[in-house]
Amino acid sequence: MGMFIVQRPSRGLAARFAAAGVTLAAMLLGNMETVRAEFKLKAAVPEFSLRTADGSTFSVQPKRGQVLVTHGEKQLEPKVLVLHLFQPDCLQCQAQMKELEKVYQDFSKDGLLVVGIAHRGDAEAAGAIAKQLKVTFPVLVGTGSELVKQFAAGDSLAIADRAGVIRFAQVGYGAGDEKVWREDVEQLLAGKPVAQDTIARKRLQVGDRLPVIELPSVTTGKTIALSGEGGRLTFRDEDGKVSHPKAAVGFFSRY
Amino acid sequence: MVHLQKFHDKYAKDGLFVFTIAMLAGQQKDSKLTKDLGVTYPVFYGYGSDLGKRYAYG
Repeated sequence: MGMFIVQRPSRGLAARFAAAGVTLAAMLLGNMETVRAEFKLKAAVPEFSLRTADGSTFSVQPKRGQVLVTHGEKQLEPKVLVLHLFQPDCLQCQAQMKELEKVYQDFSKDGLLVVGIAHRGDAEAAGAIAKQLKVTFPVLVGTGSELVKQFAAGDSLAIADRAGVIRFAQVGYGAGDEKVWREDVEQLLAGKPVAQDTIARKRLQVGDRLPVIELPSVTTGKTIALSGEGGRLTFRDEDGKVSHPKAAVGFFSRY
Repeated sequence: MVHLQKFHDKYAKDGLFVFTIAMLAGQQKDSKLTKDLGVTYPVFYGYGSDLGKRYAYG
């Protein structure tokens, strides 16, 4: 989810926010821009130890040219490691997990390991969604962990080679992304460079002009519109009535 | 959305415009997003839109 806050110069409103609400406004912007890192290309996968949804221990250690994975009593040396940070109640994440399961089914015998890490919710929620989706790869509970604090800039995915070096990273998910994962996994399993190292998505930055939003209203089904064109915010409601707000706060919801 | 509704209640009169863009299929008439949550500010339905494809992720 991305949240954005738009404001046109307005001393009066800014002063009111300063008195009562600007801290929240700043905090929301901070969440959007800076608080959490994402998986970085060419960086080592982070070392971590977590519990799976069913309570067993699970750790990842990048060491001496080989990433080591310990799952309960088992020790694994995957040729390709996929880390997926997700939210159990996010339908978009669930769609992504279904596609990851297919990739896992196709390549696990060749050395692929997929690991799901819930960055929200408890073991029960993570376990329930794994069961519902018939996911067979390990699903961990990362909520509140250092790993999640550092890397969960929303839902994200990293693909690392056998040395534990991240060769592909993306945030979010769009239908069709799995074609890229599949190709990259095949390349890495063959000891070759990935074909594509990310799936780029635009991000609204501080200072950007608000894009034109002209979409149906969930309440009425009629088109409503908000834009920042012409140097001021303009909202047109279902009946065509136009207003010019001084500031706007909004977010994309996937729930 | 509930917290944003409080923001809307408090600051709309001063010129703040609060909105949400619903990104899941089938939410075009989703009362959970409006009536059940007591949301009265505008909720756009963005599933499948170019805007969503460009900017909504994570």
